[in-house]
Amino acid sequence: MSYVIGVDVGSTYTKAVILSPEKEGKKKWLDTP
Amino acid sequence: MTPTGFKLDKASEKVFDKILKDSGLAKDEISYAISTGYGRHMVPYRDITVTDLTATARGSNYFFPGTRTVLDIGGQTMKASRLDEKIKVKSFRLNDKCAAGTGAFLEKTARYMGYETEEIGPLVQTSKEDVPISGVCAVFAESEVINQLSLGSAPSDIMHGAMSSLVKRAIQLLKRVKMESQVTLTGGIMRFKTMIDVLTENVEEKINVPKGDMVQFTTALGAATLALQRLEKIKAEA
Repeated sequence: MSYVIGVDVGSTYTKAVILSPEKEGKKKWLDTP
Repeated sequence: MTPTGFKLDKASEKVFDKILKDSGLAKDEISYAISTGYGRHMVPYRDITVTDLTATARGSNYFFPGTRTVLDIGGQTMKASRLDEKIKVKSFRLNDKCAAGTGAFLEKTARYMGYETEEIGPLVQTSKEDVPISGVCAVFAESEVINQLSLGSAPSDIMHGAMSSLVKRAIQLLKRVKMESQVTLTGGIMRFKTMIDVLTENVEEKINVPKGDMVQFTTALGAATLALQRLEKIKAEA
């Protein structure tokens, strides 16, 4: 399955989000604390 | 979410491992990665990088398609940008050379009064009035804070004043990019309801704020939406 990740390496915190493909209904996960 | 620290590659690997664990996905199920932000070039598993202005514009548009201006205030930067109808950044201004225009100013103000960063939100919620704080310099703010405390001002009101001072700087940046409606607010500082309230009172345009944790994840989400778009294009061309 073709999932993608966006990673934001900020000066204070680093955050990531994974998205599923459109046909999977745009599921998303956050690396919340 | 993890503190970035000085080992930027390690921080990016740490969030990668955590999000894989949280989502139940395997590493090889991730087909494309876009990194953004201050340390974007240090992410070992990235396919490409994009600027944080581009990613935040995309993330803001994901939640609020009418976004034409973005204000992003983080721990060490303040950025205002104006977008066109194709979500391209047409104009931007940064305040990244001075702590007085960033979350660090609020942290320092809190610390001078004996509070921790995580206490800022609950503290300012109890404010009854706005004590003027110049916000010209985060270092000199210490004497201003001590002066106000000695005059009997409540710490909550001083914190409210510090937020108002930050908002004044934000409005200067927004004016310089010629803000247009709608204005979307992002970044860790937007977790504080008082910041949103003061901004809403002082900005005439329609204001949007991503819900809950998303206010801090808008930029990462924007990078992910661009990654999805890029992956679909690669597949279509294959």
